[in-house]
Amino acid sequence: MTRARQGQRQVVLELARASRVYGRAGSTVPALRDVDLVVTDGEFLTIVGPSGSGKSTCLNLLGCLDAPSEGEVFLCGRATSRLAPEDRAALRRDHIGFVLQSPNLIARMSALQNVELPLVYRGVDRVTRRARAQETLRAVGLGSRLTHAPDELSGGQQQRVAIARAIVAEPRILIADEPTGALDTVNSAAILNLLHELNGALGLTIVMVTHDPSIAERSPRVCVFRDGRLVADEVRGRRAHAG
Amino acid sequence: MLAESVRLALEALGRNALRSALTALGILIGVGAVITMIAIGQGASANVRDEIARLGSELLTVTVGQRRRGGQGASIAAGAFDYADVEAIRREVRGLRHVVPLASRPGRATARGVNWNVKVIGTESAYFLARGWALASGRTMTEDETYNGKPVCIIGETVRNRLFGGGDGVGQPLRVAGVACSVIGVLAPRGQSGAADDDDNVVAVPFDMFQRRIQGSPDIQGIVMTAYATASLERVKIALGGLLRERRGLGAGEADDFSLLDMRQVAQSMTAATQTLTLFLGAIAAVSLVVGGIGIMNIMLVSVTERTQEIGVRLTIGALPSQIRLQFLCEAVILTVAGGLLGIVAGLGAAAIAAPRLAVPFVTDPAVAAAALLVAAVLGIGFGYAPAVKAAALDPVEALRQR
Repeated sequence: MTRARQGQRQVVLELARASRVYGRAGSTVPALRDVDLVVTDGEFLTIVGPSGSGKSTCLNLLGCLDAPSEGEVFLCGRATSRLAPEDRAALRRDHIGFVLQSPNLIARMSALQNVELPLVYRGVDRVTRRARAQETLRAVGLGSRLTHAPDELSGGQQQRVAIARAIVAEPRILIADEPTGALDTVNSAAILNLLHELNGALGLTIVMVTHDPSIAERSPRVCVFRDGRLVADEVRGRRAHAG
Repeated sequence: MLAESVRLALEALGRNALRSALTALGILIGVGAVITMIAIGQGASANVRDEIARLGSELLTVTVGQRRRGGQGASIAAGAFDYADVEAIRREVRGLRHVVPLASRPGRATARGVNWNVKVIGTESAYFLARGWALASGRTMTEDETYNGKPVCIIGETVRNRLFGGGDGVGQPLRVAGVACSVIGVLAPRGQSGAADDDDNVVAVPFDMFQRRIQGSPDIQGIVMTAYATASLERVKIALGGLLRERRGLGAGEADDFSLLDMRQVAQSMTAATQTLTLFLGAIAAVSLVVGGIGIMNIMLVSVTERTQEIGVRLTIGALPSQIRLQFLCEAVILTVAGGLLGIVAGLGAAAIAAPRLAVPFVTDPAVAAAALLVAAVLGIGFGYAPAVKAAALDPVEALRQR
């Protein structure tokens, strides 16, 4: 697929002059200043930058985990900055999946139960959610580890479970915050392959933060942050990848 | 969603089974204490009701002096009745089956060299009919004995047991308050009535003999009556009150210097007293229930803090704040309701063990159990609400950062 990022593609996420300031009056720390960013359907966007550059703050705004101090965040065309926490959570639930640096699986629940959990909150019945969770775990290559508890799985496997959990409800967008940060090179490459696969095969929009230049290398679009500002937005041709 | 929240709550509680059990224990003890106390109190009330039923609801007594309302004792001094009053009542008040004079004082009974302190009463044989009191053996007093001061007596079960042991004592000599007489009958036991007062510790002698040889005056402190029907009691009381006021020369503005009491009044005041006792015991026990509730709140707050990161994860994978709130609320309510259910069982068990030792019947009241369970659930909601709101209000970004 070599479709270019063009006008006919739908905008799924947009930051419009978005700023985020932390702290109370008197001692405020601006984490993000006046950022404009547009993400279209099916994109694979990588955000890089040194620590404290605002990349995680930007990701939190894009993922509707946080609201901007100024400016606006649009998710599928809807302004989100003034939503009540309950409504923002509902919007997040309907459109976004999250993968974090640590898999954050819930202990003493099997891989299958962990993956089922998002469907529980969406009111999916028991039989359907079990079937979908199994199917999703098989898709990430863990068909034989369904009943394992998190502490019986390797770091790479746990992160695969986390990815399965993020996509089981079929979100449009996947937000990934340093998904390979805690993994060794081999597992790291495998997880990255999996993300590219999901992007290519399912058309899942992916926004990923990393500080590893070799990972950013593989991304068709890279945004660079420094001191809370978006300083570079490079679009390359989509590179071929395994699978 | 509620079913799922209950399931998630059970899962979370199960992951901390020991702590959950200890927290529920607080509620268990609280509910158990309330149930035990109320069961004992209701047993005492049932005792009182039985007692009154046994005395008979047609019973009416008039005594000298006026008890002030609400106060104990503190009577207004007044002259005693005499036998002319008894006869006037018999003659003029309609609707009365028995009208019996009653005088009494404490005294010592001696038989076979054994001394025993008893209540000596001077009365007529109709007294036992009025009070529905049967004889276990022997006979009651004849008219001749009653009015000609024959030295005979009828003894209660306690007296018989103390002075005659295994024998029935009928025909035996007995000295009572310094007067030698012979035992002609033994009263059937009435059983323990409440606390100190033992109805069976009594020696009854003919009225005439009591006045002349024991009391030394013609005074009568009380008159015991029974009406033919409970329904006519009010009318009888009015007639009786009018007659006694007239005989005692009370003017229109003067208060009664005698007290008319029927068993309904006694029943009401005694029932009120035991109900107050029950409420009081229940209230003391309820304090421990509140302490249990605070325990729930404490643990739920700790739990929210501990599980902050987990809550953050749940918020990122699709949980709504309202769902988080419901889950924590469910956890609190499950703890209190489980504690409450076990508390009801434990409380009833404790009451079943304690009741016979306190000489009260073991009474179970499903309404109290239901109320206790309801209170437990309300406690769960009440004390679980603040922690649940705290959990739901967590900022997902902050929560995820927590380790």
